[in-house]
Formats: sequence, structure tokens, C-alpha cells
Amino acid sequence: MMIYVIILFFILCVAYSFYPLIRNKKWAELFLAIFIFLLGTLYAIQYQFDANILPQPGDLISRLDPWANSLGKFFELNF
Amino acid sequence: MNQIYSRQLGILLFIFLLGSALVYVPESVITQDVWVATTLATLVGLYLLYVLLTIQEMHPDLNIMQVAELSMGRIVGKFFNLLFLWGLLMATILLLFDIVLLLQIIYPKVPSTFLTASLVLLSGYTIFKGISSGARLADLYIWLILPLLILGFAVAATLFNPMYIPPVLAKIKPIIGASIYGANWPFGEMIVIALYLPFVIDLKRNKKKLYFWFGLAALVLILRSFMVLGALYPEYLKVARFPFYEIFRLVTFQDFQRIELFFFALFISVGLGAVLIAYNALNLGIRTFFALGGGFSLVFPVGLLIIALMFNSFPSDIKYLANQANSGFLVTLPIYILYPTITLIAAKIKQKLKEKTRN
Repeated sequence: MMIYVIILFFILCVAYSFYPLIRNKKWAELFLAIFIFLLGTLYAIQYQFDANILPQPGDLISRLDPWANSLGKFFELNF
Repeated sequence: MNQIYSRQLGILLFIFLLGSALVYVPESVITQDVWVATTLATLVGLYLLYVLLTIQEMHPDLNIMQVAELSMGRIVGKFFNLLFLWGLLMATILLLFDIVLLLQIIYPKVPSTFLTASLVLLSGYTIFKGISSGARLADLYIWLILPLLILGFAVAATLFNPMYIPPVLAKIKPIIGASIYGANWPFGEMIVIALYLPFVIDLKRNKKKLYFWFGLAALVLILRSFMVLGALYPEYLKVARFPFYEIFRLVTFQDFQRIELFFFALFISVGLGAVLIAYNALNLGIRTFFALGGGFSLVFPVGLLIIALMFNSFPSDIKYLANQANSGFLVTLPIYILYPTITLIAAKIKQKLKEKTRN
């Protein structure tokens, strides 16, 4: 399913982002748009193939679990 | 026309706060005095709103990221702005994940990728129409949201049992702990409106309207916490994923069941509204960071990145609800509170230095 999402967003990006930027010769913005799109595509492919190569924001949150648990115990919270 | 009125931004703020945490009760990490924790958490929101409006009054034509660079210098300002962008990204991903979790209960057979992509595309379309169109949409939304909210609370009141409410401030520590969760989500996340403030044309005259809509949202959220505690007994509140939604699942009127589906319009309106507001703020934030000016060229690339990061970061709702939902505030809350505070202090110091040099 993620592959279809990538294809759909690729079409939308070309039509509403890359093409207008090329036409208006906004090269820096085009470079940024392509970079963000490629980054998104890489993460989407990583999810599709269940790989774990690129760093994820969720990993940072998971690493803080012990701290959250200590705070939870201190404040007597129900996790 | 990229201009909005204070009233419209106030409504956007109202929708954002409800969309972020109406069905969830982040403070339900305690089972008693949940509503007291929500009340305490609103103070953080009030502080943030005050800070954001003060910064905006000092530099009416700039947004908070531009003020940060102007006051702290290019390099330090960029560093803090990067942290702010990180906070915006996390807020957008988490809001999207929350609404998709709820939608998966209503549409269990629809793939979550389809639900997520649909929400992002709908939001992206609205962003493409411009900030004024989004604000006009909020003007319309509110007439759907307010009656449904009143009706929702009236329906929830049928299950309300005052016996479940009693302890008030019996234990202070858990209340403070729970209020930290509320301070992060939804009140800390409201920092996203900082990037909308330069678009408001009557901020100086009508900033009270922002406080009014914030106050109304805070009141609704406090009432929600109160109602949830009274309608679901404390032990059930502890295990309920979506406490306010659960109330509607429990209510039956004679032969009518699945009352919660009647309120689908309310949940999806505020939920989608919150995603839309955060997504647009992220788009505006990235454009400001790279000094790109106005435009919509990054909307769809950023949309794909949000979807992909959401699925990578939170692949399982069980893992998320068991661990990540509890520790997420450690990553975001310091940014939500410290970034505007440091920016305000830096802007004040810069202003004083300027006055001294002039004298």
C-alpha cells in the first residue's frame, strides 16, 4: 500500500511542486523540495520493506522510556 | 489574500486544542482528580499564549522564527529554530497518528496507510487554497462543532455518576505529574499557532478574542475530564484508550446504538483541523528556516515525509500506547516551553540594548 502512496505523492509533487519550480527557475527551492521528497520516499521504502536503517524520531522517544518510568514512579502515575 | 482575523485564529486555536485531545485524555495517567490536572495544565497554555502574543506585539511583521534569528543572531537563532522545527514535526506526526488510531476503530478494515494518506491529502488541498480559505473553513466548522459539543456533553451526562468524582487534591504529586502530560499535549502543542500570528491583521485591537477562544477550549477540556471521570469509573478510565469516545459507545437510547457514530462529524472535524493546522505550521516553518518566502511548493513533499516518518516511528499502536505515549513529552515539552521563553527574553534584551544605544 505504501508503494501506491509514494506513486501518488510523486505525481502530485511533479505537478504542483517540481514543475512550477522549474518553470519559475527557483533552483534552491526545487533542490529542497526534491531532497524532502527523496527523504520521505526513503523512509516510506524502509517501512514497506520492514528495514531499520535510517534513524527514526520514535527511537529517541523509546530511548527516554526509563526516564519517563522514573518520573512516573516519582509522581505515582499509572502507566 | 493571506490575511486572517483574530476571531478566525481564535477559532483555529479552539479547533486545534480540541482536535488534539478531545477524545484522548492525556491527564488520565491518574484516575482521580483528572479535571484538576487539566485545569493546572491550562495555565501552561495560558503562559504560552501570553508569550507568543508578546513576541508578536514586539515584531508584528515577523514570525517567531524570524524574531529568534533577529534577537539571538543567525547561528544561535538557526539552532533554536531547528529545535522548534523538530517540535513542529513531532507535533504533526503525533496528531496524525492519534487521529488515524481513532479512525482505525471506526473503519477497522480500511488500511491505515489509506486513512493517513487521505487525511494528509485533504489537509494539503486546504493548505494549497491559502491561509484565508483555511480560516474561513474554521468559521464554518465552528457552527458544526459547537452544537455537537453541547449535544455530546448532554449525552455524556446521562452516564454521569457524581459518586466517581470525590477526591479533590487528595494527593498533590500525581496531579502535578498528570498536569505535565496535559501541559505537553494539547497545551504545549499550541505553539504551532506562533507561525500564524503574522497573518492576523487585527491582533493589536482584538487579541482578547484569542484569549476568549483559548479559555473556551480550556473550559471544554476541563469539562471533558470532569465528565469522563464521572461517566467512566476510575478503573475503566485507566485502561480506556479514548475515554471521551468510550462514553458514547456505552450510551444507548432505547433501540439506538452506536451513538458514537453520530458524533463522528465532531471528532473528524476537530481531528482533521488539528492535523491541518500543524501541517501548515510545519510547512511555514520550513519555508521560514530556508528563507523561501511564501508558496506551496513544499506541501506535498512534506506530506509524504510526515506519512513516512509516522509509520516508521510508530509502527504499532500497542507499543505506542504502552511506552512512547508516556515518554514523548520528554522530547517535546522542553521545546514547547523553552523555545518561546528564550526567544522572548532575547527579544527583550535586544530591544533594551537598542534603546540604550539610541540614548
